[in-house]
Amino acid sequence: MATAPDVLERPDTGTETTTDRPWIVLVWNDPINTMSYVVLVFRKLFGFSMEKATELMMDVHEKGRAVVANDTREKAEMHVFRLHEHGLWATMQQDD
Amino acid sequence: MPRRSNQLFTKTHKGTYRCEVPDGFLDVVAHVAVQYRQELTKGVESLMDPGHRRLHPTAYHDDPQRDAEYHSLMGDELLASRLHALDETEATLRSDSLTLAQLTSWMLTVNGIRLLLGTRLDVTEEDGFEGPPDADEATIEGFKLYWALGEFLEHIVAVQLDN
Repeated sequence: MATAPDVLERPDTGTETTTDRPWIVLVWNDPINTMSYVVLVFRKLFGFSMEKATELMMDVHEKGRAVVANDTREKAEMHVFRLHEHGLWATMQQDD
Repeated sequence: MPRRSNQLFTKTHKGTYRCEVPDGFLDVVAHVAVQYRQELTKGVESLMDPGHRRLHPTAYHDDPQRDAEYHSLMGDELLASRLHALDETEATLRSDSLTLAQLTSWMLTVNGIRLLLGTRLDVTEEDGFEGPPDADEATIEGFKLYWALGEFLEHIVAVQLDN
């Protein structure tokens, strides 16, 4: 009979860290949506203050993109959907 | 807060929004709204149309399989949402008072029309009121409509940000 190891080692499936990593929602710069519209959408969908929404909008405008949410995959997907409903260019990916 | 002289929308003490949009401009919105509905309801043809790419935005830009799943699950819901906003916009276009939900529908519809028009015109951040310097007459007219809708949208946004 084999002796049970003191510490059980989980098989390395390579999936645990992938599923545990949070998802980030990115909004990308585009030439169509106006700055004030983007600020309003950020405030409506995420409840950001005027200052925070403006700061994120400026990041989108000047840096090309901004992270607006960090959540589970399901919730991130819902954020992306709501942003798409409002015509913003939003994508999601797992955080590095 | 003093009322801006050129304000098209004003929030009332009841929480509704009074509209003072010139009839001529509402005629323009009504006309482009009909065209917008035709574009939205093109079905599969819409997916193949590069001018519609902003109507079917990528959700997973680094994962085509998940992106396809997202579109198969959410694509119809996104279209239904746009059509609902359009229905509500058309139904209330001649109203002189709107609820926040109705004003939001106007906003989503006008923005959707701008997305479609701006994509077709290949708008850039450098483009002026009449588009690129070598634009033909039809393109210039397209840009004028695009900017007019943008100005109208700014009024809808401003009245919400002011409160």
